[in-house]
Formats: sequence, C-alpha cells, structure tokens
Amino acid sequence: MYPHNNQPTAAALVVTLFLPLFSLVLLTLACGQKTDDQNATEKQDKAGAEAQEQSSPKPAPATGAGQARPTAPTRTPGVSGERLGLGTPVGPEVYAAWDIDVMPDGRGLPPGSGTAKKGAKLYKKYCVACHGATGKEGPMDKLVGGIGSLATASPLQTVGSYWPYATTLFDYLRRSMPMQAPQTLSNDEIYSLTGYVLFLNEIVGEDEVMNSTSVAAVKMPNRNGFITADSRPDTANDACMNDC
Amino acid sequence: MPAPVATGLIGMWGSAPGDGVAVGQADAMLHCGGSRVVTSGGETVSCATMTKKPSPSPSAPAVSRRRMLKAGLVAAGSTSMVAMAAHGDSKKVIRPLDVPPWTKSEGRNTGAAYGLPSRYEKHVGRMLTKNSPTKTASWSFTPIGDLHGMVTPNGLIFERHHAGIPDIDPAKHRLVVHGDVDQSLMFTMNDLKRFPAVSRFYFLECSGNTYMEWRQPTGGTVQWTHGLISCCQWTGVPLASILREAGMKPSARWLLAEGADGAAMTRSIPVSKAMDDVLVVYAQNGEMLRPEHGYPLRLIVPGWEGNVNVKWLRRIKLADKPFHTRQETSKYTDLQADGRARQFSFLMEAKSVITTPSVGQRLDSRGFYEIRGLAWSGLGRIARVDVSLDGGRNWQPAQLDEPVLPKCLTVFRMPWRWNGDRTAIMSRAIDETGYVQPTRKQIVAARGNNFWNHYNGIQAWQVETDGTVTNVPA
Ligand code: HEC
Repeated sequence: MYPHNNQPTAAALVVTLFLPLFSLVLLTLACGQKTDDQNATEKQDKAGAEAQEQSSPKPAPATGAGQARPTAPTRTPGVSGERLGLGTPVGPEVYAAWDIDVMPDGRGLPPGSGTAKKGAKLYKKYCVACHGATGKEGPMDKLVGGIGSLATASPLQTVGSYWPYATTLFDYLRRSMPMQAPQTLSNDEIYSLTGYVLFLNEIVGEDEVMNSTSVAAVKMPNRNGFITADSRPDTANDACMNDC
Repeated sequence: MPAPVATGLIGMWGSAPGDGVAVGQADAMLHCGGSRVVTSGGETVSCATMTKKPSPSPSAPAVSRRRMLKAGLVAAGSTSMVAMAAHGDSKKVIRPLDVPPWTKSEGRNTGAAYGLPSRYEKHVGRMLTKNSPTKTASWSFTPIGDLHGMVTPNGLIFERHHAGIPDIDPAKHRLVVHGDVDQSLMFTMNDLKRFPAVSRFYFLECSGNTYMEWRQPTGGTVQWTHGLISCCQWTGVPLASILREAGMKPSARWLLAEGADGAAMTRSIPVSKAMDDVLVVYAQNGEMLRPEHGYPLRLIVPGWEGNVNVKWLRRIKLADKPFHTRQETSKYTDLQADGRARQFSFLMEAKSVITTPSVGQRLDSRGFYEIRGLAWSGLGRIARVDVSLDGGRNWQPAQLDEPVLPKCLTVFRMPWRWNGDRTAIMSRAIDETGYVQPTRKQIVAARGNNFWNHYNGIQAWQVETDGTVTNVPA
C-alpha cells in the first residue's frame, strides 16, 4: 500500500527512525549479492537517516494496513526551524478572485443559479466549436456518452460516464473553460452550462435549477467508481538472474 | 522545433537505414559535422572536406546526407570520404589529415548573451505528440536517446500543458497560502527568495510516460516511448517552511495547489507529503525556471506523477479533505478492467530503459559497445539495475554512475561485445525498498488493458543482425 493521507503520529515517528534499517534488511534479502555501488548507497542511507533524525518532526510515510511497504527515507531538505516572518498577512478580500475551488460537499459554490435551458444557448455560443453540437462530436474531449462502457474493451470516459461529482464540473468550467477565454463567464452562466452538460448526459432535467445546493446534491452515475487507496505494489517480479 | 530527423546520431552509434545514411559513413559524417576528431586505429582523422559549405538550415545536415546518398557518394570506401573503421572492420580507408578551416581562421566573437548548442546538434530536440488535437493542451518528449548523464538540459525537458504556456511577469506574480491555517499569507517572488534555499536533484515523470507501449510495442524511438521523463537540480524553498509561516491548523490534511495558467491547474496533495519533501521552486539547473516549466514558481513533488508538480503556482489552500478536481477524477486516474478506477495513485514506481542502443540507432559493426540507460524510482534510490543480453533469460547487474540519489535519474552502464547475432536486450530496475520493475505481462495481469498511466514495464530492444534496433515485446 502506498499511503498518501497519513497524519503525524507517535507510531509514525518510530517508523521514521527504523525505516532506514528496515529497508537495508529488505535490500539485502532482495538482492543477494551486493555490488560496490550498493555498499556506497548503504553508507549514504545511514548518513541520510542521521540527517533525518536531527531534522524537525514530520509525518512519516507509514506502512499500510497489514502490508509492509516502506518508502525509502528522504533527506528532508533544510526546512527552517522557526517562523521567519516572511510574507504579508492578507484576508479573503485580497484573494477572493482566486479562491474559486469547489469541494464535493458544495463548499466553495458561489451564489447564483442557472438552468440547462439557458445553458443550451451559452453552449452554442461558447463551446460547440470544440465539443460538438451534442457534446459527442469533438474535436476536443467528448463531454457526453459512455455510460456503461467503463468495464468494456473500449471505455468512453466522459462527464456522464466517469466523473464522480457534479461539483467538479462547476469548478472545472469556471476555472478552465471556454479554453480560449477561461474565467470570463459569470457564475450564473457557469451554473447554466453545468446544467446543460449534465442535461446532455441525461443526469438532470432541462428546467432543474442549478445553484449552490443543487449542484452538490446531483448523484453522478459513477459516484462509487473510484478506489482511493493506492493498491500498489500490485506486481511481484522475482528478479530471477539465470535461466529465467 | 527542428524537423524530426534521425535520432541517435551521436558518438559511436550510426543511424538506421531510412534516415538516408549508410553504415560507417554516417558515423564519419557525424564526427565531421560535429567537428570532432576521431581516432581510428590510433590515427587522428579530421574531415575538412565535409565542412567547406556549412549548411545554414537546422535540418541541413540530414538533407545533405540524403543528397550525398542520391549522388552515390556513400559507397563504402568512396574516395571522397573517410570511412571510420573500428578494429577488425574491413573497409578502412585512412587518408592523411589536413588542417581544417576552423583551425586556419579566427573563430566567432566572444560574448553571446545566451549560448546555444552547436548548429550540428539541431537534430536533438523535443518532439510534439501526434495524439492531441490542440497544441496548447498537449505534450512533447525529451530526446533521452541523444542525451548524456542524469541532468536534462533546460530546453529539452518534456512538456505537458493543459492550456498552453502563460507569459507571467514575476513582479506581479503572487503566492497565496490560506484555508486551514492560522494566518493567510501572500508572498512575492522576492519574499520567497529570502527563505533559506535548497537545491535538490529529482526526476520528473509524466504519469502517461510509456502509455503507448501498454497494449503492444509501438516501434517508436526511446524518445517517443520513454521521453516524458526529465531530471533537474531544482532550487527553491521546502513547502514545509512556507506552511510553517502560515501555521497549519490540526484539521489540515490535504492541500490544493493551483496554477496561474489558463487551466488554473489544480491538484490535491496530502499534507503528509507536503511536510516530507515537497519543494516550491523558482530555479532549475542553475537558472530561473523556463516559462514552459512554471516560470516563475512551481511545485516539485519528488517521486510523484508529473501532473501534481503544479506549474505557475499561485495558490495553496489547506483543507480537511481532497478537492476532487477534474485532473484527479477525469484524467489522472487509472481505469481497471472491472470498470472501477484508482484515484490518488500518485507514486511513480521504479522503471528503467536502455537508451543506447535503442530504436533509430544502429550498430556499425561487431565488437565493443557500452550499453547505457536510465533508471529511477519514486520510492527512493535505485539499488541495482540488471541487464539481459539474451532476451530476458540471463541477467547481470549493471554499473551505476555516481551520484545515486533518491527519486532521481540514475545512469547505468554495461560493457558489451556484440557478436553480430540477433538478440533482445533489456533492463530491470530494483529500488532500495526491494521493489522490482515488472514485466508488461505482470502489469496487464494486475491492471487490465484500460490503464493509461503509471506504466513501468520492462522494455526490450531487439538488435538485428544488420545492426538495426527494433522495439519488441519484452
Ligand atoms: C477552443 C476549444 C474549446 C472551447 C471553445 C471549449 N473547450 Fe472545453 N475543452 C477543450 C479542451 C482542449 C479540453 C481538454 C483540456 C485538457 O486536456 O486539459 C476541454 C475539456 C473540457 C471538459 C472536460 C472533459 C473531460 O472529460 O475531462 C469539459 C467538461 C469542457 N471542456 C466543457 C466545455 C464547455 C462547457 C465549454 C463552453 C463554455 C467549452 N468546454 C469550451 C477545448 C475547448
């Protein structure tokens, strides 16, 4: 298991200190015979481990449930040990225009509203050239179709068939589309376009109001299609040397 | 961009037929072109006749080779040419050296503000993919088959952009850190340069590197198959130092990194990784970042897929959960055969590839060669690289060039005497955690055929009896 969301814990700290040793053992087991290079590497490892012990506490890459998968010790680059007083304190009024992200629970969705019906006109004006009349034609990414295709030999990954959250669609359209003029449409227009792309995928109705609560409430077909724990290593090559 | 002319025209490697170059001659012309002096049988040979009419256009060296081919000037041992011959090669015509024009004249003036490679190296360049309908949301490949050592020159680092390359005024650029922090902060570039700086060597690999080989060998050169990899010395500030200034709240577990480009690229990164080894960098290989690599500020997330190394970094927002941006749902996820997809699969596992000899290059004659390649692992240092010279039956450890650094390209080498037989050569990386680079079959068995990203299978090149190299199943 490759962990990616561990928090600092006392156990993790212990792992940090013992990991280097552990990987040496693993290395020795895995590699049988050692070259000079490996011996040199091991010396560096030890030096790295010492440097790490001296550095400030930090969350260690702990191993996943039941499966020992140490990541190699990293030499923490010179993290400053104290607050330096650099940077200017600012409030939301300063960075509001940049603070445009939206989370799956709806946090970040702005005031405003729209419908697919209104979105149809906007789509013709701003999107059709690149995504086609019905969102299926291209030439750029297909926005519609593919529901039910993900487990076949030719999967079609679109907003409709693949995306787990409608909030992501609002977020992405607001930050990145239309390609040649992103971040130029109003929030109402983005709500309408969100509704229209979902409508083309038969996920919402033409007159359904898209706003800061309804977008987060949309149930996407592939909502449960993702595995968020990294299941690698998922291969086990035995590094055979002779007569393989 | 120069026209995609022959790759691999460097040093002892000739070029494949079809590039319009004959074996032996190709080498001779190359050395002449590159104004190198080559020893053959203990003699030093120069090529004055080759350079009387310097060709003005970037692709001219290739053109002139083709013309000469047409003119029938490339027959082995032709009197107008000097054939470079290895020991034991029959076609040896050694003429007395004359003094070339560059020795009999004054050179070009000192003081070009920014130096460029020799005009004879114009064939070494990035290549744009043919698989994107737009040139702004697109990618280009590093010519790793033409490079030397572990560092990628700044102008040759692969590119992957989602809305083109922005033209950012560093005086107006800002980094904002906010969200689950004690104090939101805004930094100018000058603020960031006042932090204690660090310089680290790390590889950068697009998660889609080698994706085209997933289903079958494509026949492409190593630039196409493995060129979405580069390695630089990055200089900047540990993200942990910047986060310390703002003070993270205990609720902060993920952060959103956002770019200032037209895609406003966003990725969620766990705080544990941020505190481990992530850097906010402004320089690469000793100079400020290039525009296509994030000027003036980008994230370096060592060992993790290229896309999270957000370029043109303008904002970091701390939160309790990941944001599920378009890039981490629609795009940089891995669809399994069962229709479910892996998400947040950040790590680039150990991988290696032989860069010489590889497709597009050609062995001149039997005898000695050095097999060379690159290995890397997102988990740490490369511990060993094994090379097989017989299609994967027997393996031997290669020599690793120092330095061997964690999450960094490592150069491996193996001396080889080619006996002229057809054979497949391949390399297999093992990192310091004991992880062994898998075969393509093992990957397909584990993940199916609908994956695009994180492919790290063993790559085989077949050396044919005529010295050409092809891309074959491992
Ligand atoms: C100039 C061409 C262009 C225009 C106009 C344009 N797009 Fe796009 N769109 C693209 C490209 C190119 C991509 C893929 C970008 C990338 O690779 O990151 C894209 C991606 C998307 C995606 C994500 C698809 C996926 O599955 O990841 C959506 C949704 C989208 N566009 C919607 C829109 C909407 C709605 C409009 C109109 C407001 C629009 N686009 C206008 C070119 C365009």
